[in-house]
Amino acid sequence: MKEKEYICVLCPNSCTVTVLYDEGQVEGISGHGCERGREWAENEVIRPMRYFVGSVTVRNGDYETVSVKTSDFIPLEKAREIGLHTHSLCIEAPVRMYQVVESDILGMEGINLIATREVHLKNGA
Amino acid sequence: MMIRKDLVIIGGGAAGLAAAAACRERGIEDILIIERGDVLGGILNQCIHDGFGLHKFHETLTGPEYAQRYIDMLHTRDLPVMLNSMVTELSSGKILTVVNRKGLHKIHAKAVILAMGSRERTRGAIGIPGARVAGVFTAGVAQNLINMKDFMVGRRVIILGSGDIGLIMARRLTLEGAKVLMVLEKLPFPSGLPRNINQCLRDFDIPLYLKHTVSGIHGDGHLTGVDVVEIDESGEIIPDTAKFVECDSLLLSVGLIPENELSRQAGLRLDPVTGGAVVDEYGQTTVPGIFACGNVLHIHDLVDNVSLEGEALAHGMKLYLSEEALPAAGIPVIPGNNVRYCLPQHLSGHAPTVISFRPSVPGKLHTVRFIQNGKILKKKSLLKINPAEMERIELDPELYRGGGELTVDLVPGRAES
Repeated sequence: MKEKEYICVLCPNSCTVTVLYDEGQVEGISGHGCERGREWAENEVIRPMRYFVGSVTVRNGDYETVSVKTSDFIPLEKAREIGLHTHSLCIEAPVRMYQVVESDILGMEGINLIATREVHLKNGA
Repeated sequence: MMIRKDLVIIGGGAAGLAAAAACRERGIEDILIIERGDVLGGILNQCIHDGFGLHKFHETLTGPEYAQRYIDMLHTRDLPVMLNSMVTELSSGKILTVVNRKGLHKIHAKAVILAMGSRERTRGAIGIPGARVAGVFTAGVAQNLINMKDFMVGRRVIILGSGDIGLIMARRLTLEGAKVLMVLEKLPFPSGLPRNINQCLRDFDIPLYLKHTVSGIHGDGHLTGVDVVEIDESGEIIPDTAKFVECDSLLLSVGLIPENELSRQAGLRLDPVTGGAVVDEYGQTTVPGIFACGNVLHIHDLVDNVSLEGEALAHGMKLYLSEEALPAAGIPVIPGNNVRYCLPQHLSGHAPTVISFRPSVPGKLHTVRFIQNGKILKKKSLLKINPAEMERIELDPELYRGGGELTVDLVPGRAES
């Protein structure tokens, strides 16, 4: 049986969660402050999951970029790849709040890239 | 021509927006928000990472989303805003001078809320010697360039200081394809939140070197590298440990300074530890009718707490505007052992009271105690304490109203009932 400590990233409480596991099988979790934290810690051993945030270049907007996030958790190991992909994207203004910038990003079914800000056309056009 | 207003709020960021929404909710009609930038939301606009709003909205939001929630509230409540406008003067009589493209305006307010936020400590402020080269940024400026201007600051990056903005930028730069070589922290413990150490550094194998700093900056025109040195127990540089590390940009995340130039003009008292105004439990400064909230008052680690502080002003504001005075604050609050500072600095004992404080050392289980005239009024166990994390605890004014000086301290172990 192995034991590993994680600092939960889900909220500012930053709970120290201890996970007992054996050959990829979780045997026990303690120290979590909520049910979501328990699930999160379980994933840490098997496959760590994170939200991705970044920005996408915007043409003809009152901002040069629009901030984006993934619609759900993504595997941490995919974060860099999503970052490089997002970096290469370019969309046209205007952009609505929560507009889907790209669906099923990198072939991940149901994971969409979503705008977290409005971008208006330049000069209010 | 003098414009007259009941309430002027200086700053349309997280603090100002929350204060405005709450004051309107309390029935204060004649409000004006003055904002320097061309949009509301302040620094939230460039904080595109998530983790905001967990206390306030019970979900995780990015900075722009969090700001939008408040902007929507303001629009539905029809609150007037002056954008692209800079307050250049504030008198103790609450006369404001405002400059914008239309010219110079004088506004006479019955009450003012200071919500100007903070600015970053710079290279000059921490005195790093060496070449004056391009490629040295404060973390917030780098954040603005990357997130708002689509401008990448570098490819091989060193971050000095383990403040939250620096940690967030370490991850952001990594995801944009840059190599973050290391994060250096002068202190023996990180100054950012533990969850940011985890999700910004550990997730991407970025090393954090505690008790290290930068002692020299090299380059000709543009940064080519820095000298990284170790720090001894007393905080002094150990000279023979200097190592040259090649990099093309250096980000400084070495703290924030409350932006209090207007406060000084108005002649209100500042706390040398927080760098912000001395206030009572209403949030009123030492100049009657001038209130303060958010990072201009003291540096916060969570925007949710900034919003709470802004909203809490509504109670006293309503009272001040109808009575033209608030009860005198005669009870000083003193930070005791293991407490770096606490707010409010003095109390009247006539309003709901929340004591905010910051521990001076990190540690496991501690008990916070509120002591007056040698008697413990209240105590509460905290599972861990961390200088990076501000604590907020409610205190019933009935408990302390009749007494003198109140001390807040932290002692190891659990509170016995």
